[in-house]
Amino acid sequence: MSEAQKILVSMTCPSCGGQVQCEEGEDLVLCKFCESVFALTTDEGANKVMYKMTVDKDKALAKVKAWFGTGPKAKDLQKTAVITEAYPMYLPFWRLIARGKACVCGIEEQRTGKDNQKVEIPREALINREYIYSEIACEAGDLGIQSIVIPDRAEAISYDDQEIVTFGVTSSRDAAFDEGGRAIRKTAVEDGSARMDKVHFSQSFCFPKAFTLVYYPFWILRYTYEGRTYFATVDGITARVVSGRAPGDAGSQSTAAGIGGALSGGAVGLGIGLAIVTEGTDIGIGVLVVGFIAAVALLGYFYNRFRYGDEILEGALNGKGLKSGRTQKKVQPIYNETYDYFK
Amino acid sequence: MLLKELKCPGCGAPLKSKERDMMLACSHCGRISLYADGKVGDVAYSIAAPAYDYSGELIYVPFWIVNADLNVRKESISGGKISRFISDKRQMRGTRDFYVCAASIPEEFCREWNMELTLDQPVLNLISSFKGGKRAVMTMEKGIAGENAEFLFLRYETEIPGTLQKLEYDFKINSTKVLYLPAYKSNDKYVLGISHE
Amino acid sequence: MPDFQCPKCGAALQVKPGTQMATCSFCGTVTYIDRSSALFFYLLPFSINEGAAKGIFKRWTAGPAQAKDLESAAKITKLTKEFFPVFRFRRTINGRETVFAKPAKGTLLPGMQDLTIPPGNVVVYDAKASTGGAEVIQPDIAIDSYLPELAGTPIDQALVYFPIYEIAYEYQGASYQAVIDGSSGAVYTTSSPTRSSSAYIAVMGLAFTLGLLGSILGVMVNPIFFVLIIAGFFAGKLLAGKVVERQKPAKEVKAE
Repeated sequence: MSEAQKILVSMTCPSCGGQVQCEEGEDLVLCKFCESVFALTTDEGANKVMYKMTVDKDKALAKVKAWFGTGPKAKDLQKTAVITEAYPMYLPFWRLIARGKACVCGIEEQRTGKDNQKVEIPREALINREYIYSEIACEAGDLGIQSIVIPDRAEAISYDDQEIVTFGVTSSRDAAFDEGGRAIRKTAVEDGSARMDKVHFSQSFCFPKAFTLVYYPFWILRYTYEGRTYFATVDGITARVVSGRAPGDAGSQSTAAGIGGALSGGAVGLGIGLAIVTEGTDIGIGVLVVGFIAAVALLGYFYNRFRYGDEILEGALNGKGLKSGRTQKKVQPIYNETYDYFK
Repeated sequence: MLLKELKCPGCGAPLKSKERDMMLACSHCGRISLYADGKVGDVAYSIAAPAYDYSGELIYVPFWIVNADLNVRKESISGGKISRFISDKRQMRGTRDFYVCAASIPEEFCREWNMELTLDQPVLNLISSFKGGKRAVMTMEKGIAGENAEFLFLRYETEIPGTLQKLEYDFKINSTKVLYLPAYKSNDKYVLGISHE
Repeated sequence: MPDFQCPKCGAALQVKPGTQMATCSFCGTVTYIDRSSALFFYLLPFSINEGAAKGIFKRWTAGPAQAKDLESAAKITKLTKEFFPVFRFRRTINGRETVFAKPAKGTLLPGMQDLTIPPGNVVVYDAKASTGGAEVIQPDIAIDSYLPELAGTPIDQALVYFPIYEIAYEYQGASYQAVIDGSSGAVYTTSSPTRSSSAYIAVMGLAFTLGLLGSILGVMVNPIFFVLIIAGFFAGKLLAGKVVERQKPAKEVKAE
């Protein structure tokens, strides 16, 4: 799986004409041929980069058709769904690369000893990582896309807004920059408190390195099933189905009701039965507690599939429905630039 | 996006450099300027003399010296009280110079340097030129020196014996300056050329 | 659209949306455009046609939060394709760029209160812009009524027309409204007939009870009782099937 990477842009040296590589976030640029030093200035305060669409229409269609067969979707979706339109679109994203540092102190709760005594272990963590934050730079509408990861093989092309149709930027650059800083600081603290059950103290810092406006290609497809219109979006470089709405499968829903109800009832009953039979000894109470926890989890999961399984939602979509698949997180760490410390 | 050529603020000649260094030296007049926020400007810097000889190549490593007032209002630590009492009595409190290494020295060395120098506040013998050694590249920009100094304080609080639980403090920065300290480099090892005591 | 002239040769300048500089096509001079005092006009084109809009509405009526028979019983009484006007302000407040929108027309339409401009390819609204036969609603609130009370200093302001389908539908004798964003397909509604969860809870409750009894009796009395868990599964699945069963859509829709 490709990891978060920094963008490289090629420019021409004004002194000697050689090729200069500018790495995202480094505004002090050197020409390795004539050793001249430059400051990289950008208009309107943010670099703009656009990526080339490498997935063609047929591939996008094929991917969506394959997607119809995954998850708890209607069983006859692949056969009966009709794709009515498919068009390419470049969406704008704000992208912030920053080093996040955090100091987190708290305690970890463990159970030790024969009588399961609760023990508090003091823990400290220092986080020192580079993170990438991305957020869509226009309203998400009903597209279900909120963040992106730029794959290794993505090819940057020159930004020429006349030829390629893009969605306009409607959110404020400053607001996105501030939100990115906040999100990275929050993630640094979360990473630090990973082993802690209670946090007593935390202080976080964000050192921004680069802020870019990225135009990333997607395919948007609409399809109908039983007279209803749904949609799916496909990543224009990796060809992955990123978001979409789909009809659910009534059979899966009713099965979920049956399994969820019967199994959770069984788990609790087992606990109660054993507790009564063993007359309240530790084994009995233990099974009851485990049974109870299992039952609550089962009930929650299967009730959700039963009640909301009429419509499947993938991606960052609003509204009621069965959420499936994974949504791209807004903040991602760059692992080879990590210097953490845990006590 | 444009590439704007940088010129020496003293003599106007175009600046040249083999490495991406925040401290740029003009090949014509020898003046060193600091690059910050797209521009080059004057910078006050000091150079410390090596206190002793050591094997390896002598280089001068740039540090940001952040002079700050540190006031801890409340602190709560769990355990380690005896160890803290017996060992190192040095504390990080009051007004002091925070040393933040601004070059790309491997983390294992600059971690220790920053901590020891900030705790010791060594008295240095200053000289006027980079005698006998090369200037190491400064990669950390001025804007983040202050927060790195604050993070150094938090590192100190977490690394001493005992586990930190609560902390309330004020960190007020008075000034940020550049100081070059001598170090000896051999293979991948770096040794500071000044004494700590 | 406000007219900008090249300060060197006087020719009309073509200014692209969102840009700060414009190049004169005659003499090549690059001019900085002062957007802070002008009002720009933009349009967001439709990317969803009428058929798709109806399909999206139908999909919404079939959603798990909507009343069970809404999909089959709701009748669209009016579908209007129109452009709705909104003022978009970009201002510097406390040193930060802030973007927000205000309605240019008084309305009770759902979704128009929160006023976020939907995602889309913004084009300049001039004589050449295509409106695809949709009605363009004109503003009835002047921008001057907002300007004196806005915080900060202006960067630019624009009147943006965004595409919507305004739907009026009837269900069990009552009238309701819905708005579909013609650019991304988002659905906005006022209060709509909802579906109660009680039948769902009852079905799972029954399966739970059977499983519970089966386990308790199985442990305490005789292992044969564990079979009640299996019974609970089948009973739950059968009854659940009835609860989620979709009412067959009317014949007329199938002809689409």
